[in-house]
Amino acid sequence: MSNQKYFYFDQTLCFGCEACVVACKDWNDVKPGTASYRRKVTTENGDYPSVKIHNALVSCYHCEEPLCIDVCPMIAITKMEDTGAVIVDREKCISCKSCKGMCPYSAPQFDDSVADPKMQKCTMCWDRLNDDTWNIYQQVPVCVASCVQRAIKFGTKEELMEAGIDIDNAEKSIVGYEHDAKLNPSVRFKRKA
Amino acid sequence: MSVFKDINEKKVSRRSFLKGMSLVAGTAVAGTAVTGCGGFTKEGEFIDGSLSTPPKITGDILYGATPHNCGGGCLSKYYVENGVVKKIVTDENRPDGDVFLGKAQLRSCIRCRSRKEWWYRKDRLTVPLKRPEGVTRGDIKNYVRISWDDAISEIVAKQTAALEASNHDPRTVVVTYGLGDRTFQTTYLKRGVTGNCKHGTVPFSQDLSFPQWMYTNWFVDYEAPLPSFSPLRFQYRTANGRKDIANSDHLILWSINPAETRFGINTCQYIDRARELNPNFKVTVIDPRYTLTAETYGDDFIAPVAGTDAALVQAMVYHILESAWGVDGNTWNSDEGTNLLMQAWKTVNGTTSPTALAEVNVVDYINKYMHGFFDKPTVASTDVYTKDLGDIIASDGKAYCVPAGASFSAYVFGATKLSQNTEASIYPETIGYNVNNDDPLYNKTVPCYGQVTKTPEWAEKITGVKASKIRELAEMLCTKKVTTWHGAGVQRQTEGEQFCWALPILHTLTNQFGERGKSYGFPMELDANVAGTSFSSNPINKSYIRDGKAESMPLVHMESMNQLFDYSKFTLQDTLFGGGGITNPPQDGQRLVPMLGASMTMASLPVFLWADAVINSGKAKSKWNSGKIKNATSGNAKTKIVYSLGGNSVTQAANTHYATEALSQEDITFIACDIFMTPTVQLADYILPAKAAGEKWGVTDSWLSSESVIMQPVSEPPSDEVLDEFEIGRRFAVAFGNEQGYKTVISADKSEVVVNNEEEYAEYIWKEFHKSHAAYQNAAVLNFTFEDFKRKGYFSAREAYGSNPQLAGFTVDVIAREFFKQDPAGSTLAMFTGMNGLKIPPLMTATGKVEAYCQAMVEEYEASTNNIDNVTANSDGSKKLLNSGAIYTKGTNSTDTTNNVKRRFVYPVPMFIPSIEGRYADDTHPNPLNLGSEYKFIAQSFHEKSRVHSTLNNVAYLNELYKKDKDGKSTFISPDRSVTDGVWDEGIYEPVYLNNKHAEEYGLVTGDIVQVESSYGKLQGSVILTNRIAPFSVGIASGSWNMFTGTDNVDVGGCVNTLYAGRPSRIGFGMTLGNDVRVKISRVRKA
Repeated sequence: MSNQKYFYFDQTLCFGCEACVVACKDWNDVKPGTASYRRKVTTENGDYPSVKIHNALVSCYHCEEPLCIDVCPMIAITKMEDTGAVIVDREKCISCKSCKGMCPYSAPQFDDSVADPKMQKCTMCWDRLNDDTWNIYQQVPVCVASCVQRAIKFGTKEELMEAGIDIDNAEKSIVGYEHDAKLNPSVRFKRKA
Repeated sequence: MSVFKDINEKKVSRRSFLKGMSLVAGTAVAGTAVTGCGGFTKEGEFIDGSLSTPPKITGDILYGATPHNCGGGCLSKYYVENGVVKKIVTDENRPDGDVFLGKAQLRSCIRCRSRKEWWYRKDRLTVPLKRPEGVTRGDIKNYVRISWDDAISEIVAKQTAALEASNHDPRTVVVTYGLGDRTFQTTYLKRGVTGNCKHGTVPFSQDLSFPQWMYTNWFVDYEAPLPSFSPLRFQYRTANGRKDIANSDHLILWSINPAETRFGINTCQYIDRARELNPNFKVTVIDPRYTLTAETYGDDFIAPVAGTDAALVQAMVYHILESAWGVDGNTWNSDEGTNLLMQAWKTVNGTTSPTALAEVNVVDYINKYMHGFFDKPTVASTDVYTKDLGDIIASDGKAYCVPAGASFSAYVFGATKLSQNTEASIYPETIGYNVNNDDPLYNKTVPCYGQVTKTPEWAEKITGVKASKIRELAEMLCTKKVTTWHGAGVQRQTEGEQFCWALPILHTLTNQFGERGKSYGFPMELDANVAGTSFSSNPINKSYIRDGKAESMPLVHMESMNQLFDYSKFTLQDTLFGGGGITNPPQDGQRLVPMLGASMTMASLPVFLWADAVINSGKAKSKWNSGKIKNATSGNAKTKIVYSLGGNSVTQAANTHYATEALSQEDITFIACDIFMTPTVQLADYILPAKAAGEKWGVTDSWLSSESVIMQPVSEPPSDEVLDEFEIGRRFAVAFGNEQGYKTVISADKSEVVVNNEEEYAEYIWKEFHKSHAAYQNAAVLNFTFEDFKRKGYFSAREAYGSNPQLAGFTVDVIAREFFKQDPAGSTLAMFTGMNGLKIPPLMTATGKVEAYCQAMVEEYEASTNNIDNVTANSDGSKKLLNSGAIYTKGTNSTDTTNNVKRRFVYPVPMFIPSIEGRYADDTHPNPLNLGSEYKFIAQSFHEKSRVHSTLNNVAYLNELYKKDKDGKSTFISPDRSVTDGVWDEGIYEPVYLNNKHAEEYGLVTGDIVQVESSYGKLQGSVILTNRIAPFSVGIASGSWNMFTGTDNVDVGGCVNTLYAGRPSRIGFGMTLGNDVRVKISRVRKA
């Protein structure tokens, strides 16, 4: 049984409110500016009034084969065994941005400020996943708990299967997010037509 | 196979692995670390791989909410350390259950989650400031610090002198509209600052947001508040409880956008749940903008040109009538398969007619529930349900009749006579404007289509909606169970009343009311009686201080208010004002508090015109020729003191320039209490720093859904001189010498309660509802105390009722107009006969019916404003109604044959009248202001998630999702700027949405800076090209703070209200800040 945790995103429910984006910045104390662990990508097709909108949330989805780890000269990036989370040790980061160059999803984020130039990215809210002090219900990342549309689910394959989500047979790509087979990011989708 | 095995084998040399986070969690305290590629000290400290343990989550947890004037009121959970909020999450400590059972988490949106970037900004107001003599308003760098004591004593001295000079005329003091603070402490503060206003202040009706809905509701289909048998009351036009949509086949979302503008917590989740339960459940979204709601929920999207919705309704009604009486209006179609009215009325109150309905049956149903759908030149007392009106009619059958050709259906059929009517439409082809003679609209007319048959083809040219689609919509309403939720945008234009009046008629005609699965209105469950609301049921609004003593009567100077109106103009005089006053108990057959809402409206000035009232005070005039304003500004009294308490009256006003002018007069003293230096605050003589939501106590709710949330201090204010409004008001009260009166409020049982501080006030509000309302008495049954409230953060009536068998019989799933549907006369239902022996009709209109023909509304207009149009004429030069028609009101009755035949400015049936600066789909919209062809766009405003009205405009987390720099890149206003840096920073632009179709013509790409210019103002913003906005529309979200620059006062802050005329709506003089302005655009900078 794999410990890898997956994100599951129901694109049909998302209306792009960005609660997850702000919740993530708040929880992780990411300052206003260029760094944002989660970004909304909106694709608009069709002429008024026959418009079609697709929202995708792009983030680090904790690849099973994370290239960022390979390229980091400071060995600052780690994949956790218990969850599959890819974690950066910011103390070690030298802001060379090698990781950013390798990641097709721009998951490594850099605030272009002098005050905080080091790489930062989604931690899978590993503090929340491992916190039993405050009784966060089901201990999920803050983006999952924030989603007003309940469009984001989270868990291992087995946990998600219990929620009726078959990760092995779920969509890997949607409009706005293309699966990279080599990296195999840990995110699956319900695709919006 | 474990993925980790593979990784370990291949890449271990380049990667670090940590294992067993459960181990970490379990052993971190003991200092044990974990394995990795680096190594560990013998103590177990990890030194060369990566982080070994996640950051520890610290802080105390508090619950609460920080909504402003938001339809949400959702739950937040704060992690607090030393008075500083470190993290904000939402309702996440319990399972996320069924929304229909009230068990869904109350998840907050980006606004409440971004508060760290709001509380901790460096440009908070932290000390009281004063504008010294000689310093220009807005020159804030030269404002000086002043102590609280000195500020209050100076204000009190000025106010006392002004009031003594005016002999305490209520017009001396104005408190502008402000709902920026949902703790409602600003309401209490008003008690404090007006402590020496013996006769009160200028009374405004607080109906800025939904003025045309509310105004028409009072007269057309106002439902009786019946607190004794239901926990629910209606103060708005409300649909059935939200859950009831699951009983509908179809949901129409008409100009409502819950995906972006919260209207009750979890409203979207109700739609999701209905879809889950009923796979055939369909949603039609009607909106000129392709909203996120349209995208996410619309099975069908109908996009009328902004401002033309009333034509859509007219054509739907026509199609239904045509199916019944044919094109000639004269031949009853007895084929049940094609006669839409027969289908619509086949089943009523659960009973299905076994046979096809005859014409007489259908007409009886329509007349049973509607007044004036058909002509009724002579009316009998038995035709109305209110005894007092019946008595009047008994002696004068024309007192409240529907003259020949004057009914709504006559208007719809135009020059063709419908067989049920006595005459074809008497309404003219055109209508004039009741304006001052120096107004550019003086002597101008536009079509009101009095003689036009309102076919779907006619409406298609105006609305752009295909005639076939209009027919489809009409047929759906006659054959399915339909809920229609409407929002506010559709009514925010100069002819906004027409649609708001026609929609209830459409739903009554099609039998879509008063039953499960069939309703129309706002998606509300509980009305304003929920603890903490600002409306009439808020105990604080029921208890006032007069001469230092608490009283339960409103602090209204009756003498001056009587000057606003000529009550003799009403056929059915309001018992509250015209029939002996509120202390006289209503008699049998009278309404309990007749036309309560209408009274509230009539006894006050339209808040939309506050600047008109201030600028013209003492001049007996109104910029917009409002009779109420003219009456209020007559006499010697002059406004000398203006307060803005938690409001941003300039940004949110009719026109930012006009509002700035109002607040810039040197002979007024302007006092603002707020948390930031807004466009309004910067004009003040005295600036009083208040605590923000989250720094103080309050109790509030979502917009009329079934949850209350507590607002409690979770964060320390930025300075000791930042005070809560209760305390500010108390200090004023001390200065006025009536502290005890200030602290004393009236309880529901008429006893006096003393509240000593803001927390006691919050607790008082909570307890009052236990006492006074069934819903909260039930909360008491549940033993849900104020302490529980503080601990849990919320109270859900739906959840409480759903889970407690003791509370059987109480429900938030109310059926709107249910009793009206069952027994419109109220003659058999026990609850309408059991209250003090009274019998009252369930609908509190003049006739007790839905008033398709509404004489009372016209009379309300005529009670303050002349309605006879002696200026404009028909095409043949005559100034009379057509077809020898006449219309009667109390002021122009059936014996006044000189005037009752004349053209009017306001007619008793809803029409389609083009908005003044609108568009038609076929581009034939009239142009009464003779605007040049370059004014080809409509400026359309709406709410986005980036703000709550104008609140939160300066929150960096929200800015960066919306605001753009000069190159079109995301940006935000620095949290580190100082209060003296002014209201806004140049170079931070509001988005301006434009359809791609116009890109080439104007040479625009996304990110260019454009100037948008109307006849009333100019603003600049950053273009976003999109097909979500209609061609020929310029979309700008409301609420951005204006910042005028340059000699021509260009607003680089991008406040859309800079563009609007500020002209009020035709009948109720309500707010029109939606889409009624033409603009031109030009590029000023290339990205």
